[in-house]
Amino acid sequence: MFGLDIPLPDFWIVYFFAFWVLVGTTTGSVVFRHKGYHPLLGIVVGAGGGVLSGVLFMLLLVAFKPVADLLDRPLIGTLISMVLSAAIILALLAFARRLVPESVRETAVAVEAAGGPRAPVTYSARVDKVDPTWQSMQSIRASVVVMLAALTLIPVIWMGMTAFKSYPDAVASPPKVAFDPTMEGILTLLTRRRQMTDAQKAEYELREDLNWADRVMLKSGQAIIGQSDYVKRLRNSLIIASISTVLSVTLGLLSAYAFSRFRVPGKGDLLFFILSTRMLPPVVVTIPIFLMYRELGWYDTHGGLIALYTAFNLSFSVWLLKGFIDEIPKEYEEAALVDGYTRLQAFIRIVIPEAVTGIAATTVFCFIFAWNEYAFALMLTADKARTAPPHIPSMVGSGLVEWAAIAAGSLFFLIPVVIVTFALRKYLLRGVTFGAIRQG
Amino acid sequence: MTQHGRRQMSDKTIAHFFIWPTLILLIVMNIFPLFYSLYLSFNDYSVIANEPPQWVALDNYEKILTTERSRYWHNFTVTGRYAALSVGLQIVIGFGLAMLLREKFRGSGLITTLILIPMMLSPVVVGLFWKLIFDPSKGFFNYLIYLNPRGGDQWLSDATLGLWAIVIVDVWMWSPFVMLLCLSGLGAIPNYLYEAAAIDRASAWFQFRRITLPQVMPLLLIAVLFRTIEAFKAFDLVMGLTGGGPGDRTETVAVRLYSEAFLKTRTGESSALAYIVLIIIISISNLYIRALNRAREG
Amino acid sequence: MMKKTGSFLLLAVLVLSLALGVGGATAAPKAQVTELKIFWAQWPPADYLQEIGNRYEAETGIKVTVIQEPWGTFLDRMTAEWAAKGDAYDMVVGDSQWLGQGAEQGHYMELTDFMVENGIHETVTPATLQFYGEYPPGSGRYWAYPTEGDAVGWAYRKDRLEDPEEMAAFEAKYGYPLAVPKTWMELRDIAEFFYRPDENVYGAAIYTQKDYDGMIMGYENVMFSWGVNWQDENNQVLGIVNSERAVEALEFYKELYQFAPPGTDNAFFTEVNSAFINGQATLVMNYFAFFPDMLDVGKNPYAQVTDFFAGPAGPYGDRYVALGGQGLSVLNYISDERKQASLDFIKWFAQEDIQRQWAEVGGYTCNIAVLESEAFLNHTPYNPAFAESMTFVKDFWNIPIYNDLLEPAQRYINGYVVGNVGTAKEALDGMAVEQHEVLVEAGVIDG
Repeated sequence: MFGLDIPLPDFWIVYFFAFWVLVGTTTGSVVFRHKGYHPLLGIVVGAGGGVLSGVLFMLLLVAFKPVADLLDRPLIGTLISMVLSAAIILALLAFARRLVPESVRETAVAVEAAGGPRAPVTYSARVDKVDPTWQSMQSIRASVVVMLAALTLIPVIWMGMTAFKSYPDAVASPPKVAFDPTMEGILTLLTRRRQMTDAQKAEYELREDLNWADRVMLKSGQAIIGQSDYVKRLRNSLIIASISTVLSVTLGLLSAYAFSRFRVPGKGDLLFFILSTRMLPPVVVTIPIFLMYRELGWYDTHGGLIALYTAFNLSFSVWLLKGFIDEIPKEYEEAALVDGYTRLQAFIRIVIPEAVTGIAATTVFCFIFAWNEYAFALMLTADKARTAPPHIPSMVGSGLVEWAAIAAGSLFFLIPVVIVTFALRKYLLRGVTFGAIRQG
Repeated sequence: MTQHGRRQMSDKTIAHFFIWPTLILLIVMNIFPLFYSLYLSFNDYSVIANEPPQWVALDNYEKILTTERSRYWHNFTVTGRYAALSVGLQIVIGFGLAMLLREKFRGSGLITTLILIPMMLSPVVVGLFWKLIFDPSKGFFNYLIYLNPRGGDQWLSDATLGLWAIVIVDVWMWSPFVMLLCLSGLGAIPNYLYEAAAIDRASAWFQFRRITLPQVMPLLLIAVLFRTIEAFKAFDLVMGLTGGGPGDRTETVAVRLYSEAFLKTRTGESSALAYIVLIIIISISNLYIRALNRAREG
Repeated sequence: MMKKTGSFLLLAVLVLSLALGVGGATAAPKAQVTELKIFWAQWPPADYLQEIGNRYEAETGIKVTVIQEPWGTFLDRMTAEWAAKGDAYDMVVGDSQWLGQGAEQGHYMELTDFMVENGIHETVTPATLQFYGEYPPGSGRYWAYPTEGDAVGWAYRKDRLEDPEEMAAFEAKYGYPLAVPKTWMELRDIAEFFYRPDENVYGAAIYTQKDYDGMIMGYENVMFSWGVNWQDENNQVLGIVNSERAVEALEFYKELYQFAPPGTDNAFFTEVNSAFINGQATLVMNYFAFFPDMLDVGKNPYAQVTDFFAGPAGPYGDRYVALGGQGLSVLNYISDERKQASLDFIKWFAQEDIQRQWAEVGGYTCNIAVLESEAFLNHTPYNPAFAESMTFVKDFWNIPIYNDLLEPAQRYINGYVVGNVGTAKEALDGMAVEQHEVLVEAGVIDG
């Protein structure tokens, strides 16, 4: 990886190098397959081409360095150099493609005509998508996306690295990329500890029954005395977020169906009202809700937070789901009703299966909101029902932010929501149509 | 509407049965706080002062709109600039990403999920970590953008860069959301439009301008609407990164609200401010929805 | 727009009144007090207090639980609790600034009679009693037992200040020997001398944080030492907080900030500590309560070469440091039995023997006898500086509207020091005018 001790550009050189190699490998295989060669050969040639492009890019970047230095802001200079270098390389590639003309297209047609080996085109029957130019553009696009995703994830990767850093490493200047990994952060997250005096430490060291965790914490003079609240907080988060998500999606589905299919007096107003409940800055409603919860005895209960999150998500889920149900043809149900189904049966057997995409998309959004909600969880819970978001940033030691513990806590906390999203990703992409807003 | 005919009665029962749970929950959880805040906004009241609210009619509103106008106006301009910058960038980046991800390739589902990760993080954690990332000596941001780390920019305390820092984080976090909306919009464009264009040998630019953009426009507008509403409510991120500083250079309406409501416990005044914000958000939403309807029809 | 508004409102009122009725009926008093809950910020002293609480449980059978809330949200939670007149906690170890609210708005129980009858008010140092316990100032009415004394002190890198080469170079440049600074000017010189961005070595890390009170807790050390106060004896601020000396002090603070490590632009106790631990800062200001980690070799690689001193004096001979620390108050909304049990705990806790134990586990006692004892002074390397500092502390306003006074101060001073907004004079003038308006509006002074 890049050493941060050296002035910056080396990160970007590595990054762009990787990009060109990726482009080379993916497009190479496409082009060669169409030419009738083995795609593996294409990968090799493409990788070679990518390395060459990367080297060229580096050389160009160095050549543009004086230009970059002329400008007051090195960032702008670097950006200009990068864009220019990329443009030159792309121009060269386009030129190189012209050197191998026609034949490519002919081969492709020939292979197709021969019913030759070609991956079945499942996504579209469009002619232009079989075109190798289009396919190589697609692989360039894919490479760009992969590299952009990598860039987006840098802060998250950094968080992952921080989780294994000791305190001095976490706040080192300049920031450290290479460091001695330690489990201290994760143990700080999961345990409660007691600071020992030197005398206690000496005595403690001699004990036989220390496990590895004890020994890790001993380095900073701490003795583990129990489990931390983190697991409890995580469990609370799971309970509260999942129940409230299920409730808001269920109630939302019922109301959305009713709003979509029945004549409800004052429908437009009611719908707008439901949406507007989400517009008030939460800071302001916290105090009234807090007062109400104290009176109702809902303060610091799971039920209290579940009710609140359900209500907050309901506005969203009603609107979202109504859009989906609106798009399900009424004829389906009417046919079912003629067949002797009751309204309820028609709803369960016909409408719900049709709306499953929307239900999945709504579930993801409701879950993300309930999972990450901070302000209300902070004000309305103390211990029993406290969720993880207000707990994680609170891991401040005596005058130090426990970066490693916070990073580890945030990452563990991220896993469930990533799993939910990944599991429902197919619906998510098709699902977010928001057709509903048009009636507003 | 459906023609109900003979099932009118039972449908009505079902409608009640389906709608009332939602309404009751919303009434209990939302209406009470909403009206309580409205009532307090006409009162001189501090929630901890142990004194009953004193009816002052429109004094709080008058104060915000006249005597203390200049500072509140500053809060609104900051919010407006923040909303415009971050929503604008999110639209460009989110739409660009969606265009790139439009055609599926091997692993595109995984990549999409990975790109969505920033959106799934808790805003508090994001604020905390980005503060470390922006740190000119302990964070890597300045290194990445090729600024001298020693004596490089102190993003969070710079009068102009401070707002940009918040915008950068917001864009990082929420562009994926816009991307998601755009992707679903792109997926809904019927293929025959492109096929027809391909037969006419229309240029790629023409296809984009005449087919893609108009078809995605409604969803882009919805993205703008949602992100603008959120920008007015932006609190966790700003508080975590700059605390509104330096001075009041990045003090958005939501941060100001927090300071009035919690630090100074001016409950009445802050409720009035909240209602002004609510009215603004509702008006903006209406404007958007109107534009949206026009986009759908045209 | 909404035709149903009327009926909704009706329903809301109905639901609310029902709720209130139910809530009122369920609050039943507890006869036997078996547990005392103390609310405090989340930090090591709260752990220490828990340890003392465990000893109380061992002696009396009454369980003591210290409920800890992170500093960032400590005030928000307390505000919410007060607003609800809640009885979730019996006692709170509250900030010195909260006294006015606690006393005037009736959140705290008055302890005057209890403290005087038991002679407790004479066991703690007068300064701590005045700042942590008494309200209004000088009235002789007490609302809290001074529990955790604290003040702003300094840590420094011994290896840098005692390096012979550095000492020679320093003396050659400034004409006097390099040593622990006795005045702010000397401190400035040291900060400037060690400001070497090329070596990643910097001067002093100081408080600059924008939200809540970080910036002011730093600036007021300089301000007090320049002989400036937050108000005169008539509570006037105009011409006081923006006097020429105040302008000088603020300009000085900004100058000092120029030598601070990069990244301390929104810094409070955690950020300044990290700037020291990563080797950048040569000097660092911080509350004494945040110094234990500086001596922890696992956390601070320079622990062996870290030493401490008390805040230096200003150019006109004044020497003051900003007060931190908290007093233990009994909340007014609990039942009489619980109040009595809380008083019993405080009476037990205030004994000299217990206070000695409190100091031993790490608490910053305010007890005169313990503070003066050899054992206390030798307990940690920073205890002598702490004991010294506690004799010249000053504090921000503690009247109920202190937050309204704090907010403009934070805004203007942070804007000037880190954001380069306007001049020192403009910043202080702006702050003074706003503070004046707040005081007039609240009826503290006449317009």
